[in-house]
Amino acid sequence: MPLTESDLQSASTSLNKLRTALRSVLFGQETLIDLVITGLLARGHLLLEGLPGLGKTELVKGLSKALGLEAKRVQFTPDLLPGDITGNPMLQETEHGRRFVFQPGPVFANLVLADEINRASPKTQSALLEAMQERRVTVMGESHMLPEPFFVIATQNPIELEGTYPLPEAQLDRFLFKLDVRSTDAATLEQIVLHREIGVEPHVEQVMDHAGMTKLLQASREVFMPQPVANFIARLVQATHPGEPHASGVKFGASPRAALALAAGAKARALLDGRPNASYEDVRAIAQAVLRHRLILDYGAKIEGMTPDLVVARLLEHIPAQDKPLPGTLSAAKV
Amino acid sequence: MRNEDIQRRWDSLTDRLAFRVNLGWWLAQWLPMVMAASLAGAVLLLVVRSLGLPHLDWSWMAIGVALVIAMGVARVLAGRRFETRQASRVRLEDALGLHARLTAATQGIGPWPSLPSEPVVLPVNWRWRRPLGTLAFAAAVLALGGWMPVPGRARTKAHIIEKPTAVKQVEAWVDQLRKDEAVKPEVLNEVEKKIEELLKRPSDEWYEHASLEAAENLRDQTGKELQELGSNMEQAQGTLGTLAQMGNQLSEQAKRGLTSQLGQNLQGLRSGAMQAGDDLMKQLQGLDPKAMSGMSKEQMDKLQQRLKQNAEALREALANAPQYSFKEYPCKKPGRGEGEGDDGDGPGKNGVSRGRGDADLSLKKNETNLNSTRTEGMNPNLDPERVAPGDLLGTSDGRHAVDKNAVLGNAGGKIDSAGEGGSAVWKESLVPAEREVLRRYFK
Repeated sequence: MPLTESDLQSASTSLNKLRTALRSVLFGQETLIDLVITGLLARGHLLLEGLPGLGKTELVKGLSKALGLEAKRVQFTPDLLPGDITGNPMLQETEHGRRFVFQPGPVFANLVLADEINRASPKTQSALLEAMQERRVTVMGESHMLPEPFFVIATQNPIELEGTYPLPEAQLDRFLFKLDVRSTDAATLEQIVLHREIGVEPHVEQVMDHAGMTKLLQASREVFMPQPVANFIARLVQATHPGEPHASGVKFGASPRAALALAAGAKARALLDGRPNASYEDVRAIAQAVLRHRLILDYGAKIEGMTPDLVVARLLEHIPAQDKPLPGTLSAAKV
Repeated sequence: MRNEDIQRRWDSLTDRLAFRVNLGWWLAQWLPMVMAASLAGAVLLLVVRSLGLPHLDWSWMAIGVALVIAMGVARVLAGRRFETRQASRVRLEDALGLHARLTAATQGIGPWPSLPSEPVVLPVNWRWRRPLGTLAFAAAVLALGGWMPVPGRARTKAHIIEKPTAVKQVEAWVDQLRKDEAVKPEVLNEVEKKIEELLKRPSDEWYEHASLEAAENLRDQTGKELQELGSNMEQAQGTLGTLAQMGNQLSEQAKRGLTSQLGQNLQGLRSGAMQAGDDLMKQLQGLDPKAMSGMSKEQMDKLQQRLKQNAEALREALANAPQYSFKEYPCKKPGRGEGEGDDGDGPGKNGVSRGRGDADLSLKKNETNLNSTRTEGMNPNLDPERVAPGDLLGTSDGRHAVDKNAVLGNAGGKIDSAGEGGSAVWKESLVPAEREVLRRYFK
């Protein structure tokens, strides 16, 4: 059922409030904030990569406060065990005697901040990633459903590689977006200095409740996906595969899950923009975030300084919305 | 603006874009065909022109038809790649940054986006260089094919198929004589039939020796017959005029001589191969030279004038062939002297200071050149078409051209013969085979 004008208006109002709230937490990161909101609307898990102190954790905390969702934070360390995340069965005295009772771990929250996820062992990472994919936890043969909505926002530090366990590609693929958190300019830093103090958490007003969030998530699903836009997504994902004309240097291309992520992200962005349909511009806007952690480059490309972002930029430059070529007597014009 | 109007405007823009793209595809298909057709057309034009075929207009038409057919073929081929309105809509909304709202609106999702205040620029531009360059090239190639100088085989051929000069000369005589009614039409028809027979041969063979000889024979025969006719006519009118002017003053003997002369001339006119026009012949048929005394002076004058006009017509017709000219025979008038009459150049009347002082055939220091080539018909009933060898058709007396220079030969370089009609042809132009032989020789 298509979204009505009032649906869009309502969603737009709520999302603008959320956007404003987050901007009061994180200065000068409007694009990042929009992408985070987009990822949430698309029901995706987000991987934030950036240097320490750029506000990754602060952003997630602000998000949890603004949304009024239950949020938990897990600091990933090498000795962290899977049970520390998913929860453990504990021997307890019950009415029926001593029984193992499942004690839910921090993953049982609407918003889980997995800080420095690459510092945990692969086994622990896998436990979290399984929960991300299945949205449930199975302990001792018993499945426990995670609350709805369920988002994981993980962070990782790109420079401190010693003592880290880089996430395997299959697990990276489970993140909807990988967002680069970049440092801000001097003017933004000035704002931070003026409005922040170390040790004092910023006040964030709750702008949405659980029901409102659920409604937004439902609205995001109902955004119309035009067939040409779906075609554009399919061609874009297909073009990432080795052997395609503009995919030189790519060792492994994006999976169909990437196509689904692009579609969900485009819809979410359209809703964020107050539109009832996804568009090519939406796809282009989220393509870097969706594809950068899904493209595996070969060594030759890496040596030459090629990055997934450059590959995606090249693809966006060469893959038009309309795949039908123009005759030699015409040229595409910039309007 | 209502939603329907906005939709109509957007659809119109989309259709314009689709038309431009499809026209581009059509051009992309058609231009190579234009190139090929122009090259083939140029070759066709060159071949037609160099062979001198009379199909140049048809060639241009064929090229035009080929281009039109190519348009149709290009339409069919390009049709496979033609863009639909939906495809053009995607192109348009992407270029204008409309966030796929046109496509969504066609699906009933959301309203049609409002039209920009400024005129919408279509997101495709023409690359004019390619189509214009191709068309210019095609035009240049066709122009080269149509107007580039080529070896003028056609002109050479036209020159060669010119009728031989002898034939043209005879044709000119026939035309002139028919116009003047100076010769019996049946006779002229016969001559024309002979010309037709000559020209029936392939034009390439007109200038072979046999053909040229036949043409010259025809000219000679016709020319001599006309000359004879003209000469007889001239003499007859001269004699008739003399009789009319001086009939009463002449002696009986002189009268008999003139009457006899007139009789011979009339006989020649009646029995010659070439006969005078029908009117004149009717008058001459009933004319008896022995009964000339019964004719009045006016009748004789009238007949003489008629003969003179006919002779003039013949002379005029033969003006382009001096070798067949015939001499004038002015009628004689009484001489200057004691007798009656005006001054004249006829014989005198026996006075001391009579006439011009001398008479024909009188003894004098130099011989008299009468320039006579008199032909007398010996047998008027003899059919000249059915003569057998040995038959005597007539006698001719005249003077032989004797070379009085008994010692010296011709001076070196002197032209013996100034040439006759037709000689210029074999001297100054060559048939294609001869030209080819010469070309190969000089290579």
